[in-house]
Amino acid sequence: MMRALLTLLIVLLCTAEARAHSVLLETSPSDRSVAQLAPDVIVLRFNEAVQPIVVDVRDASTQRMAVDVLVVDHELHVVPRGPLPSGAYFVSYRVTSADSHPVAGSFLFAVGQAPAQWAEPSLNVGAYTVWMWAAAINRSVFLAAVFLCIGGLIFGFVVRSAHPLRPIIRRAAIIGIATAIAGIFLQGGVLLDAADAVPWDGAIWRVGFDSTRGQAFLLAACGLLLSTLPRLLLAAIGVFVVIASFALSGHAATASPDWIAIPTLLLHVGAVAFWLGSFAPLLAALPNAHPVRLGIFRRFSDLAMVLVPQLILAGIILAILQIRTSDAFFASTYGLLLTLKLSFVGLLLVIAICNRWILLPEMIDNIDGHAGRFRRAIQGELALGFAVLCATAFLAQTVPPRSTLDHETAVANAARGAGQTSLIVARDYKALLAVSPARPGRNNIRVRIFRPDDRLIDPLEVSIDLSNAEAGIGPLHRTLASVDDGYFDYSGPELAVAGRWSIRIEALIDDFQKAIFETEILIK
Amino acid sequence: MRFSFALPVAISALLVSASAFAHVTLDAREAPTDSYFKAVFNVPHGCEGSPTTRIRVRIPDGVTSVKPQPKQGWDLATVKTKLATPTKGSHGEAITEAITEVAWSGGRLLDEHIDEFMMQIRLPNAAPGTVLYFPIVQDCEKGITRWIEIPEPNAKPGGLKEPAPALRLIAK
Repeated sequence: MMRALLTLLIVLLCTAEARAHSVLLETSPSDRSVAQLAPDVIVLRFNEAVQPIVVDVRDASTQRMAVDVLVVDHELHVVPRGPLPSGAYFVSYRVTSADSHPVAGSFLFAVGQAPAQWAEPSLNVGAYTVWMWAAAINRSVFLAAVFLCIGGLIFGFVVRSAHPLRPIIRRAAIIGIATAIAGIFLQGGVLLDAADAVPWDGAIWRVGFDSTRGQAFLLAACGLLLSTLPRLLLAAIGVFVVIASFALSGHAATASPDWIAIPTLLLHVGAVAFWLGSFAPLLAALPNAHPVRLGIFRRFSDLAMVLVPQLILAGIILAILQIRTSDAFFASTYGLLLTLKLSFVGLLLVIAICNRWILLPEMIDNIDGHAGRFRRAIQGELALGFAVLCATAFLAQTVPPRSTLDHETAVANAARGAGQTSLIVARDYKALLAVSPARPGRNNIRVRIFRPDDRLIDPLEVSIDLSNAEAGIGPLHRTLASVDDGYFDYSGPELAVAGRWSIRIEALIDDFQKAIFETEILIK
Repeated sequence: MRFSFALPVAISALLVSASAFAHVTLDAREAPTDSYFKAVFNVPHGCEGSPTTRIRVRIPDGVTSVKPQPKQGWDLATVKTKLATPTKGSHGEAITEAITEVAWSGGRLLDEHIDEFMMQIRLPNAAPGTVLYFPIVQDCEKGITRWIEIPEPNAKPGGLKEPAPALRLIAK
């Protein structure tokens, strides 16, 4: 009961962190657009709040521009320190989201005149870097050590005292703690994608510690430390802390709905720990196995009958939350890795079933003749278990389709011209206008007003006049609703025909000051 | 049919001149720089038929010695603001604060009537050609009209719906 409450508490504390991958929805200036006037602010709008790690603006000669990066709600505002001269610019960014993944990308825009050729931006979303390989390999070892340690302990709690295994469990815990600490550093490296890294680079550690994955590693290390203590209660708490650390970060923990994802994940991790962690104690029990001792194999086998189906069910639920649509499944690296993982699990199951219904009864009949086969079977399971963990560790570094789909939708929408964003400067104020989908029919119009120093301001009122001279429409005057401080929104069917629409924005800054912005957008 | 109707309206609008036609305006369009000036604001109508109950005028930067004229039936109030950079008055005295807003309130000016709101001000010693804008907020029993629009530099004249009254400074 205590344990259940503790787990619940940790889960509740962790759910606040749970989110999906970050996706860049739109930028201003938009990709491959030509701005007549140099933009005073470059806006990157994401589907959620992100933490910038690197935002880089370079000109055609790859000269880095001096910029300041501000986080405004779901947006990054990149403010060049000086006016950008005419020419092409390449913006690359690297941000993190709650599931600890770096999201990187780039776009191009030009000031004044379109360049003869747009230099192809290298979109490295989802590509594996050396850091990712290192992190995944480190995590494989970490997972193996963790499951060896806490699995051994769980085995000790529920099947048989783990005393003879203490040294193995302790060693596993030490390896687990070491790889957890290395994991924090490697996660920092993955996020920064740092070119030349030394272990005493404070920035990498800081980014690692700030990430949810880094915090999960830290929590796991604390749990492992606790679990090595000789007191049973402390060891039990340690085991639960380690299991709970899995809810802090990663795809499964951040899939929605989190009230399904997180308990399922914890169940999954707990069951895996028991199953994989039991192989070592079982192996250790084999040499001096005699008919009385065989009871532990039977007890393990009976428990596994309950746990394994539940483990697989939990795994399937988690996978469904990640994949959602089956089409994307096999096409994605994520799907491929998951298939690999599931095949290993399948093999593992076959061996387990063999063990239960063939090898174990045989061994009970005749210990001396069959212990060797049984040992090899368990060793096989152990190897397969490690393979499953490796696949899991690599899965953790791969972008699941759940977010690539979002990303593809966003990109496709942008390609179809769904949504137009423009930054209009009038007098001292700037207006950021976003019209989506910018197709004939119902549209959503959003306006934000910025002060000369690019701070978002909250005007008293914002209204728009829509007119289409060619079609003889307008001006239609509409007042925008204030959705949030500084966020003004209107949805309506006014932009009913394709063509050039003039949009005039009036923002009442204060009683006596009104900023008027005029622009044109293309509805197609 | 509509077109033949619109043309005479446009012509007569031009003849009447943009001033007193529909906007809250200043009597004079220009005044000499660095001089005392009697600013008279004409209020030609209410807000879409509703009677005017308050007129607030924002005094542009550089304008000093603001002395509004009290009006029968209206309460007069001013807002004083400390100047960021103190200036010198006409007699060389230091001016550290200035009236930045004048408000006549509590009256009731029907839509079918007109009235004038007056103040004496000292215009700044600015280059001839400088345009001063006097944004005005007209509160009515129902609704509010803000005569506060200021044209963009180099904008075509007449493009604004509710322009702020403007005064062009000319050489003495």
